This record gives sequence, structure tokens and C-alpha cells, in this order.
Amino acid sequence: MSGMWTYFTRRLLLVPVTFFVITFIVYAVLRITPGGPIEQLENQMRAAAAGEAGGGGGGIGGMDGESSGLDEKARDELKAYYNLDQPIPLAYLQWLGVYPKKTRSPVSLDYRRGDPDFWQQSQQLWNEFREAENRLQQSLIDGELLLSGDTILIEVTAADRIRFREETIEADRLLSDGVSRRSQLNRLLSRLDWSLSGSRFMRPITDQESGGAGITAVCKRQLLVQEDSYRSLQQHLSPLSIEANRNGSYYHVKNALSGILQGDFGRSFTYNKDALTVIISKFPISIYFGLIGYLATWLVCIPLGISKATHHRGTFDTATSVLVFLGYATPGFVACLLLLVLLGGGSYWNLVPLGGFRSADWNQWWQQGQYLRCVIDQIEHTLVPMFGYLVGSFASMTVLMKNSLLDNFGADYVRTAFAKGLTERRVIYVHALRNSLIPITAGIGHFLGLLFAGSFLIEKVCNIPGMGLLGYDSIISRDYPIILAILVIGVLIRLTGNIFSDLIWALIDPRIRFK
Amino acid sequence: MTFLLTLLVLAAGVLLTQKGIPWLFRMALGICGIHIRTSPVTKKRLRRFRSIRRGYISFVIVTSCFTTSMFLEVLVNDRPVMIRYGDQTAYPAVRDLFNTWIFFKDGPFSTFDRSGDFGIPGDGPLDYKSFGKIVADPLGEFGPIAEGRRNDAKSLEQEISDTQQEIDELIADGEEPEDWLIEDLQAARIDLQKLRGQIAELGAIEQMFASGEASIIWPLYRHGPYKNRLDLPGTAPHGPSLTIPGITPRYSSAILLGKNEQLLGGRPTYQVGAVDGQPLEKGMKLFVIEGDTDEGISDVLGILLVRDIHPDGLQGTAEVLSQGEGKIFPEKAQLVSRFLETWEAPLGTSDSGIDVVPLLLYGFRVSVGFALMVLGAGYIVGILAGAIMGYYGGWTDILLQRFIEIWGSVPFLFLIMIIANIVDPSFWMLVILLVVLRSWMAITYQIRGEFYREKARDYVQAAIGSGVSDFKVMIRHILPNSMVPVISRAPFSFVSYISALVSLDFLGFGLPPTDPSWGRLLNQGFQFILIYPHLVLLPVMALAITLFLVVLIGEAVREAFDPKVFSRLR
Repeated sequence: MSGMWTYFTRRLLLVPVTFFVITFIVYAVLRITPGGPIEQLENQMRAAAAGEAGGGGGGIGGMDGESSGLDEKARDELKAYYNLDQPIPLAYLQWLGVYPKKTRSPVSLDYRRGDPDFWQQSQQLWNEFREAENRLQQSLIDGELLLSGDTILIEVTAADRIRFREETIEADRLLSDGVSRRSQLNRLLSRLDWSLSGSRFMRPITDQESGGAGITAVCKRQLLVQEDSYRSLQQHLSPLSIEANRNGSYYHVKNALSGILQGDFGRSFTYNKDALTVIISKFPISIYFGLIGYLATWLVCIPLGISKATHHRGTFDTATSVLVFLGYATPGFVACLLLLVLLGGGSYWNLVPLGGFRSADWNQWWQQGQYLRCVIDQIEHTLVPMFGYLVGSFASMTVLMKNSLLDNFGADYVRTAFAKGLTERRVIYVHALRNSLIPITAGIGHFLGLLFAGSFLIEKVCNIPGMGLLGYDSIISRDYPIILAILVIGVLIRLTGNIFSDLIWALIDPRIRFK
Repeated sequence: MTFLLTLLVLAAGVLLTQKGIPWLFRMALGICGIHIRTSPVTKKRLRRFRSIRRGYISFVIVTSCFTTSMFLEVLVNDRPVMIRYGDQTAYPAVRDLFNTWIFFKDGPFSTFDRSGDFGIPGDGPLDYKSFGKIVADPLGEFGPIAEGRRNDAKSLEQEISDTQQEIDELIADGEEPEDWLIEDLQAARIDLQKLRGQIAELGAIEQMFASGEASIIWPLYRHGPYKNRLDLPGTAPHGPSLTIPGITPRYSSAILLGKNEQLLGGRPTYQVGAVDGQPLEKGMKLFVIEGDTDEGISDVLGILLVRDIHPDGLQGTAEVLSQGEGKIFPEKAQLVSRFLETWEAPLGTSDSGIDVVPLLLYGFRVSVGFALMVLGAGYIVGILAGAIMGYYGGWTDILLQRFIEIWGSVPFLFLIMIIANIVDPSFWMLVILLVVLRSWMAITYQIRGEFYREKARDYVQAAIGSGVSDFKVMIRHILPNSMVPVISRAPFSFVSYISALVSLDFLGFGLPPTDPSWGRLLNQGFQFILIYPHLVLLPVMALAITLFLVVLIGEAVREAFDPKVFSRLR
């Protein structure tokens, strides 16, 4: 017995390794492949701009008026928000929750009321900073200069570009070639000590260019003042580990472990909810169809398998074999599609609704107490997907049942039972059947898995808003947190399910020995 | 006639597959100096397999259909097998065949035939359909044109003689004829010359066609899997024209009464009327045809959609869904509600107007070919890995086992969907993805077990002891003795790979959109589930029949290679 336990312990120990490898593969694939959330957002914005929908994709600060989507600052902010600015291994560790991640949450008003003096003081510091900034802006405008970070820039306008003629010709050419040459352009610009924002070229200003001390000196002094006041504001806030951004909002900043190990699956991009919450909201549907599909399979396959075994090579066996083969040859979703065409009220009979988990008015009926109507409606919506799930596992289950029963019919103990004069019925149903059910019962270990996973295909065909459709939609819309959360839960359930079913098998069948 | 030819082709396919290919295979091996000795055990197994009738017949059907389908380009195609005009000959469909099998599309053979070379003036690509029409009826096609030209020439001659007479009269009167009169005469003479030349040319071409110098050989079925059946965009799918109870839409005809003043959604509308007292229906699609339903339809001019009906049901307003380029709907044109049997699209068209027959047939080839590729490549990798694990054992075995355990837990459909959502996978990429992610692991464990057992046997030890290299021991000695579980599993794996391809195509993560595939057809059927059941029913039938036959093969193979002795109780 102890050998068995070491076997299971070893397998349990392998679970985390497997888990990390799988999640890392998928994480890396998601990160490497182009078309992430930011691209999605930009596409949406572009589409909105093209359709002149007005205000589409709003709510994100720093939007550039250009059709190229986001400007670099906003893109960087978003990248930081989605944790895409880190290298893949680091980001993976942060996602796992074994490496600290910087998280920001807004400071609430209630929190601020707790210490009015402190907040008044910080407001004052903020005002000072704002004033310094305004002064700086004003003098920059006067001097036709720009500010980027902590350097003063001169904007190279079209007129100026004639002055820098040789240098700009290549830049203009690269710019007109479009986005594909963007990296080359950036390389050229950085060599020339220039930068590009939107379609403006900029470069740090030298005293010589600005005509000596004049306006640049003033700007530089005010820049120092501004930086100073900003720094003193941050210093004032830092004991509470709060940061202020340049727009005047305050954030609690935590550099803490926050990943799936801590139960933080991230926020879904499409639902704007916690990914785990979204997934849990799909559990009832999955459990419903999981249970129904499981029960239906058992109720059909076990009796069928038994009668096929007892009538082995008889007419009944041959006739149902055709059914079994057909079941094996038809994928579940194809069976659903076929049923919907035949019974969905198109060209043939109108017996079942075309899809959905329930009718739209179901909740209303329930509140009005029309329970019978609710039940009938639910059954009507269940029939087609249930048939699909049944077809999916019908053939293999039936054959498994039949073969395992046939195996047992050949065993010595059955012959002994016959020899001591028991009736055929008793031998089959009491002696042989109990042993033949073992391989099927072992599948119970995957019970959890069945509850979790809905089939992509069947849910898409029958339009059931369950786990499968959620997975499909999140892949289409590149909703990373949900994709990864589904992956994590699915993999964990399957891995433990495998071990669990082997364990059950070992427990109910003493002949099984794992080493 | 076509039916007989089809039977002949199928018979040839069966003969080729069952006799020809094994013979060729043996010949090729013989030339290479390899002689396969079938062991008595294998012979017995093969005999047993043949004796299981349903499995063996399925095997013959599936393999023969697949070999035949390799020649689909010359059997089912919208390009002719051969065209000849004088001493110009071209083989467009044969070129397609070569492109598919040697160069995998867009090969050096994908050139078009210049229409000027085949008697139709112009430098553009030859329109095979109109070439075929002329071959079938040269006088009918050329007659009206030649007649017109001849009439033109006659009137020109008349004009010339008139002008000549006028000039002659003027000269006779002693007056100088005006310059423009002479110029006119000269111009008319040049025109006449040209016209006569054209008539002569036309006559020569007509003569060529009429005297049988031009000919065309069509494939058995004249529509391909890539081209829209009608050049009327936005109106497909269309229902089948073959009468299949329950699938074929109801046939009814109507008549075009005249154009309405009012527009509907910016499109012109027409007044349509019922014929023979058959009432019109709202939402009915009506083909505007040229010619007569009884005498054969020469062209489809456009498609109308019935929008409003008079209360009596005998008249209605229809909007133009699509109108052929440069086509005008004549007064009293006949309208029919679907493709006719005389003007066939027997199984309807897909949502891009492509005939379903070639789609199903080419889809069969793609699916079976895909499954075979995945199976073959997966077996090579899987057998190699399993052999190494079982033969060497120890750490290699343990490490590879762990690797397989981990790799096997990767949710592969999920991963393929993620990858396919970004890069549109090609046929080969899908094969590689499926092999790498899944199929190779299917048999590795079994092969490992077999090798483990066989390695302990005396004959292997003897081989090793006599200094045979590891590789040779594995391939020559152990492998032939451990193929049974692998072979008996193959058909079932095959089924699952076809299902995987159909599922991926259905979800839109499979083959490129131009490739014919059953899964995409199913997806289209899903879109039009209430209106066009043929798009679901036909591919489902094709899929179920194919897979059913393969499962039958699988059962028979299992019975033959891996028989179980069951107690029958009594």
C-alpha cells in the first residue's frame, strides 16, 4: 500500500511543474503574438474614427487626435497598466505572484477626511507645483519651445527643416513610408538626437541655438522650480506610500505580490470585471450541462452496453453497433447542428428553440409564478445541447461498458458462479456487472472537469453563454486575463482530476497496483 | 453518358488502388532491391481482415475514393481537360492537376490561354465556356454576327455604286466632281475592304469550328471549387436543383411585368406577376433568365427579391438584388425561383456562390489528405520517441515520460485557436501544429511498452550480441513485431483528426478561406440555418458517411490484428 501512496505523492508533486510549464507556454505565446489589447484598442479607435462615430473608445486619457491611434505616452501608460512593459519571464513571474508588481489604487475621499491637515498641506504643495508648471508653460509658449520630461526641446517645424535639410530628407522619407519603417526612423532620429511625437520632430535646445542666455535660462530655472515642488509633494506623500500624478489624482502605490497565487487573476478587458468573477458567473450553466450530459450518458450507455454484451454478436448487438459507429463518426457539435436544422423551425419541424440557455423572459415568468412554463422552456432549450454532449461520449462509453462486461464474462469467478447453480440474471447483474462498472466509475475523478468545461463548439452552435463560449469569445477579443484564468482553472482541474480518478480506481479495485 | 463515364472512372479508381498501386509499390521496391517477405502471421491477419466483409468493403471504398480524388482536377473542374483549335492545343485542367501535386498551387503551369490563339479575337484569357458554346454550335454563334457584317457590306456596296454613279454623271455632264465626293468614295472603298476582310476572317474561323478543327473536352462535372457559379455577387447561397425531398426549395415561376418608378433602398424595383395561378410569396428569390425554361436557359441576367405582394397574391413588387454587368431585363422575361434541373447546380451553392458538388469532393480530398498527413507524421515522430524510450530505458525513458505527461496536458485546441487567431494557418502549418501538439503522443506509450517487452526477448538479445547496431535492431527486428497496436489504432486516430480539422474550420481557425473544406461549409449552413438546410445536411452526410466507413475499417482491423476471445456465457 505504501508504494501506492509514494506513487500518488510523486504525481501530485509533478502537478506544479506541469502547471508552470503549460501556463508559461501559453503566456509566452500570448505575449509573443501580435495583436494584443493595445492593438485591439487602436483598431477600435481607428474604426470609430473612420465611421465618425464620435467619442468611440473614449475614457482613455492622452488620446491623440491622429488616426494612428494612441500617442506614445498613452501607449506607455497602457502598457504599464496591462503589465506589457516587462520582459516576458518577469511578467510571467509577476502574473504568477512570486515577483512583486506595482499596483495603484485611487485614494478615496473618506481616507482623505481622516487626516485633514496633512491633505491640506499636500493640496498646498500641489498648488505650488501647478503654479510653477503654469509659469513654465507660459514662458515656453513665449519662447516657442516645448517641454518633454525634464528637457527643453525645440520643435523642428516645416520651416526649420529646411535649415536641417540633409538630416531631414531621410527622416521625411522614412516617415512617409509608413509604420513599417518606424523602427528605422526611430534609430535615425536618436542618432541625430531628435525625437518624434505625433508628427512633430523635436530636439533638445542648446544655448547657442536659442541665442544665448535669454528665454532658455528662464525656462531652465523654472523647470528646476517645478521639479523641486513636484518632488517635495512626492516626499510629503511618500511616508503613506501614496503618489500623486501630474493631473492631481492620488494613488496608493503598492509594490506587492499580486498574481494568481494570491487569487488575483486581473481585470477582464471586455467585461471590466475581475476575471475570476466573470468565470464564476458561468459556473451554474456549466454545472447544469455537465451534470445533465453526464447523467444522460450514464443512463443510455450502461444499459445499452449491458444488453450489447449479453446479446454479443446477436441481432440487437449488430443493429446497435451501427448506432455506436455513427455516434463515433459524428462530432457532438455536428449532431447539434443537424438537430437544429431538422427541429429548429426552419425547413422542417418546429420543436425546439434555435439556441440560448433560456428564453429571454424566463426570469419574468419565474417571478410571475409560471413555474410549469419555466420548466418546459428550460427542457426545450436543453434537449439539443444535451444530445450533442451525449453523442460526444456515447460511443466510447458504450463500447467500454460492453467490453469490460465481456471481459468479466470470461473470468473464472463467473464460471464458478454458474457452476454453483446461480441464475443467469443473478450472475450478470450481481457478480459480473459490479466488477465491470469499475472502469466507468473511475471516470468520476473527472467530475470536477465536466462541471467546469463546456465545449467551445456545442456552446457556439447552441448559443449557450457558458464557459466554452466565454473561452472562444475571449480568444477572439484577446482578453488575456480571461484566457489565462480559464487555462489555469482548466489545467488544474484536469491535472488533479487525472490523479483523482486513478486514486478512486485504486481504492475501489484492489487488483490495481500503481508503482 | 456522364453517369456511365463516372462509373467507369470509379471502376478505374478501384482497380488502380487495389491492384495498380500495390503492384507499383512492389515494383519500386524491387528496383531498389528490397523484397518484402510477408510473414505467415501477417498473411493470416490480412486474410482475416478480408474475411470481415463490411470492413474490407469500406476499406476498398475509402481508399479508392481517395485515389480517385487525387485526379479531381481533371474530373471536376470549371476548366476543360483539353481544347484544340487547328494546331493549337492546351490542357488547362491537366495543368491544374500538375500545379496541385507538383508545385502546390501557383506553379509555373498556372498560365492562362490567350483567347486570340483559339479563334476568339483579343489578348485576354480565353473564356472556356464561350469557346465551348461555339464548338457546340458554330453556326448558331457566328451566324448572326456574320449575317450582320454581310448586311453592312451590302449597304456599303450600294453606297459606293451610288456615289460612283453620281460621279460618272457629273463627268458625263462635263463638270468637275467635288473633292469631298471623291474622298467619300475612297473612304467607303477602304471600309468595304476592311469589312470584306473581317467577313473572310470570320468565315475562316467559322469554317475552322464547323469543320471540327476545334474541339473541347470537359471534365465530368463542369464546375470547380474556386469560382462563383454566377457572376452575380451578394445573392448566394442558392438551393439545390436536384430534386431531393425536403432539401430542394419549391420551384415556381413568375413573369416580369415592368419597371417601377419607385426605388427601394436606392435600388430599382420591378413589378412581377404570377404565372399559372401560383401565388407569389414574400421574400422569394427570383432568377431573371434569358431564353425559355422549356428550351434551355442561356443565361441568368439577375436576381430579384419579392418585397411586397398585392392582396390577391398574383402581383408584387420585387427589388433588384443583383444585376449582371451590362445586362438588361427584357419585358415579359421569365422568372424562376431556383436553379433548374436543366441548368444544373444539383446540390446548390455556398454563400460565395461556389457549387457545392466540387466543394464536397475537394473537401473530402483535403480532409482525408490532412488526416493521413497528421497520422503519418505523428506516427514517425511517435514511433521514434517510443522506440527510444522503450529501447534505452533509464533516464531517457523517465525524462521523456515526464515531458510527455506535461506536454499532453497542454490544451491543444485552445492553443491552436490562439495561434490561428493571429496567423492564418496554411494546410501544412495546421498539420505541423497538430503533429507537434498532439498526434505524436497518441502511440508513443504503446510503442514504448512493446519495445520494452520485445527487447527482453532472446532474438533481440541475440541480434545485439552479434553486433548489430542499435538503430538496425530497432528498425529491422523490433519494429515489425510491435506494429500491431499501432495499426489497430490508426483508423480511430484518423477519425479524430478529420473531426479536429472540421471543428477548426467550423470555428474559422482552420484552412485558408479559399480552400474548400467541410467545416467552413458547415459554418455557412449555421449562418443560414433556417433558410438553406442543404449547407448543413450535405456536409454532415459527407462527414458522417466517410467517418462511418473509416470506423468500420477500424473495427475490422482490430478484429483481424488484435482479436479478443470472448466467452459467450452459454
